[in-house]
Amino acid sequence: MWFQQLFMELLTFWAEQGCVIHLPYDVEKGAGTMNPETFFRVLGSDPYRVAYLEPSRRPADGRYGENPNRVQKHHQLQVVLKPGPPEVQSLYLQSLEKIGIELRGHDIRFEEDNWESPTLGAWGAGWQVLLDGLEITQFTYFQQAGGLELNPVSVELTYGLERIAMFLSHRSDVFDLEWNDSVGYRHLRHADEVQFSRYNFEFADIDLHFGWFNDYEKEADRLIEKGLILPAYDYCLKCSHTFNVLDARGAISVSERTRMIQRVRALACRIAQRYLTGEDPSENAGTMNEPSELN
Amino acid sequence: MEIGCEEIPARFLPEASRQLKQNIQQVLSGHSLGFDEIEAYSTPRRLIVHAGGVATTQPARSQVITGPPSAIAFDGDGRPTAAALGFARKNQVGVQALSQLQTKKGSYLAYRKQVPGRGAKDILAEEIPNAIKGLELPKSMRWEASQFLFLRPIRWILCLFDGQVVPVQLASVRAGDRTCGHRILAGNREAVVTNFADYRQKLREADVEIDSTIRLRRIQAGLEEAARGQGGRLVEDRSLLQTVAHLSEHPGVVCGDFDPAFLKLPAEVLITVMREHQKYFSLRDREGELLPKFLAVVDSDGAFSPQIQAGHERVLRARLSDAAFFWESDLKVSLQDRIGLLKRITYQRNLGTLYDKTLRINALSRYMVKGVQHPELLSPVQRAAELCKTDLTTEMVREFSNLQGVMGGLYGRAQGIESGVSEAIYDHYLPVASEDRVPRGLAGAIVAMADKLDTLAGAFCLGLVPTGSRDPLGLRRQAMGLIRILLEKELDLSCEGMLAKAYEGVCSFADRSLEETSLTFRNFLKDRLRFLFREQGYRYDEINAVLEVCWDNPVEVRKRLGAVAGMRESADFQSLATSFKRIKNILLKAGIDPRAVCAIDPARFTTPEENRLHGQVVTADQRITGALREGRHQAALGMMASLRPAVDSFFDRVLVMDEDPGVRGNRLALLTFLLQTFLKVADVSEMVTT
Repeated sequence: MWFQQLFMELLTFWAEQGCVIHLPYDVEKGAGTMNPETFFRVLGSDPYRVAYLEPSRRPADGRYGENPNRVQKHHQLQVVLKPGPPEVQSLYLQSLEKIGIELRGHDIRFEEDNWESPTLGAWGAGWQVLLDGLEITQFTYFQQAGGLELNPVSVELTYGLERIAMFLSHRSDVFDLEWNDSVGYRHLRHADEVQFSRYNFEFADIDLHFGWFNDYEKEADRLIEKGLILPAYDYCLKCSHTFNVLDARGAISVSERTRMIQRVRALACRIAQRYLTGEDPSENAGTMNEPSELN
Repeated sequence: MEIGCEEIPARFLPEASRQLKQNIQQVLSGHSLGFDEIEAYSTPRRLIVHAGGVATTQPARSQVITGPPSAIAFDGDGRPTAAALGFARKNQVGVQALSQLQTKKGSYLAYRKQVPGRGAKDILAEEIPNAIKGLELPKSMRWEASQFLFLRPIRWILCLFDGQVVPVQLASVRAGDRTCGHRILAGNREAVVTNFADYRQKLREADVEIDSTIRLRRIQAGLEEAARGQGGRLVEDRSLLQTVAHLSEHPGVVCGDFDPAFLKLPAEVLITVMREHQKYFSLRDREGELLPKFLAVVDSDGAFSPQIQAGHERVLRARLSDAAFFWESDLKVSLQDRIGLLKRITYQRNLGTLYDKTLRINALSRYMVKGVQHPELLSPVQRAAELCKTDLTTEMVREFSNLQGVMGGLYGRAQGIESGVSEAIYDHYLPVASEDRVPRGLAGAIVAMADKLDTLAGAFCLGLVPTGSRDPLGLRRQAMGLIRILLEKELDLSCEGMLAKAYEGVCSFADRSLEETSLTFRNFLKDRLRFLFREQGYRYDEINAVLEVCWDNPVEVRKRLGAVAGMRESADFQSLATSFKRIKNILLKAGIDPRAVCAIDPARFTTPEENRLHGQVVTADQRITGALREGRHQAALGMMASLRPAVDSFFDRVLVMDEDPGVRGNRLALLTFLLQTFLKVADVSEMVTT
């Protein structure tokens, strides 16, 4: 199955389940969860269903295009069902059948994995779905976002598209995937991997990035006070990505790291609170454990 | 009853199942519902309790309802009054059904009412929801509007009593008479169930084995068979086996290969990658070398093995490529060059960086080298201490924290560091779990003890002491590790002395004094010693008798325990224990501090018994001191016991509390001295005598 076919099939499947088919968000981010279509929509009580493709950037995962399994930008297919329906697991399994996975011939497991995003003040309970030992999806019942308890509880499904595509086409190198019948993944993505790996690891200007981080934070802070929550969230995302670049660049000490993550989380929590209640809870929002990475 | 769920995390299953059985059992017992048997089972998708031979109703019981006093219930002729008639009417019986009840306040009219028992089904319907809400679940979640909390969403409930549905509701799910087969193999097929045997049968047909011990045995057999088939033997892993038994409803074993080129990675790394990332078992050949193979436990049957195997092999290849990448890139920076990087890593809040900790371990290790009198170890121990934390800066340890120490040792060896040093680094976290070995060499033992003592001193000097089940820093493990190393390496070292040295290192961070820290440490260590020796089969009174006078040196504690346990049955010893208690009481009543210096004046003795006892105690005291110095603990106890005749005749013939204060004081001083002599060996007053 071609790469493009894979996400088109999945989007079609979820469209049939009543999902709005949305689009990637145009700010760099580490995961589909950070798209406002998830971050804001899971807050509050309105039912909603959405699915979209999301290119996700994790600068530290770059391997100069030389590693068959790791890339600094991969593609997630994100589904949010709010509230999660009782038959959600079997819907999910049907989606696998839709892309050609014959369930009976495989070892499919739901193994505990409680997703957590320290920067978003969010966590959920759920599983990683393993297909013959390969993690293909993160399956999460959102319990909290922006430091707020969620009710109703949304189900978030995050498919790792490259991995599923490799599985389906029996490839062991991501760059051997076929995007469609004539263009390969390598052709479309390899140069990007090489250049961004060099940039993230070697050339990103550290002082500039630290400066940007501070500026983005300041701007987000100012916008929250003005009640311009959606633009404020953009700057919160930019903080997060800037941090990730600095982290990949090896420019952040351990103690600094914790503090910077807390700064981003404080923004996210204030934004969520403000979005929901119109009030700014100030800086002390969010009390989660020390995070390990920003996704 | 079967609570059907979305996949419950393996780590919670055994405990949730145990509690559920206990709570249901309490419902039955609490309502006087007899039963023959009760058993709990679990799979990732279900928690099951089956009780057999349960009474259908509670036994009837009688209830006494008290009426008016007999005095006003009957008139002078013994005929019931209006009060009696009213009481009878209220209870809907005739007066002849009433009786009289004698109480402290006098006689009353009473009605003994027979209350029929309630039906078990009704009681269960009422109580099961409480039994489930009463589970103490470690990490619950919400999933629906009812805000019900459980380990994972509940999707169906099967609850039958004598073939009839017990109308229970949990969250928005109502109980019925249906179960659900294996999600994939049986396509989640529903089946109507009539009783437990029928239930088991239908689930077997639907590819579900509910009994985790059967699943575990099946997996074990499958693993061993696969290992034999590959001409190798399984690398035993009990805890992984437990985990995988809770991860499948229909376990099967698939054997796969990996590229032998990966065997250039150390076996420790390969096994860890397979275990931690993929929950795979490893195989070794007859010579003990790792084979380029793995065993995966899958939730599927054998028919699809080839394609499942191919999937698992691809995943493992990616994982091993990552590990190889870490190995190569970590090796590019020498451990020596990593020392500086430790300055950037916080060891623990308020206890400095890992570099600070390294310096402290180094100082403490040097001190211990002197203590064990092996000056030739100074150089390797110091080198190992300097390098022991450097692997925390490597990619591999960042990915697999349980390889800390091990990687330092392996990287050290690969970088040409001398074997004594790399082995010490490799071993210095040991022992972690109770089944772990202690460090192989003395150098490793010293660095390991220094590391643990620094951790303990650091925590205690900040007042961080474990309480109940909370021990986030793993201090109990650290202390136990320290004790085990001292015992197994037979090191005669003073724990108090080592702690004082460790305190010097952390004192700039401390908010507790040395005395306070030391006291915390002492009590903590005594608790661990008590636990350890109980596990080894010593009796608690033996342990208390010894720990009362000696805790600082675990090797010494063990010797004395051996002596006390060996002596305890002898008649002399039993009698001495009794006398010892008596002496303690006398001194207590007389208000004498048993540790006070005692001035005995033999000239003031008035009886031969006093003189005899005094003479014998003086001799015994010297001999006991000598025997203890020479490690002859049995002999020291024997000397104690040999005092028995003198002690007995003293108590038979001499009145301690003489009227003359001088005589009395002298006798008390003699007893104090005797007590002090005994206490050099053990506080035998702690012994339970028969």
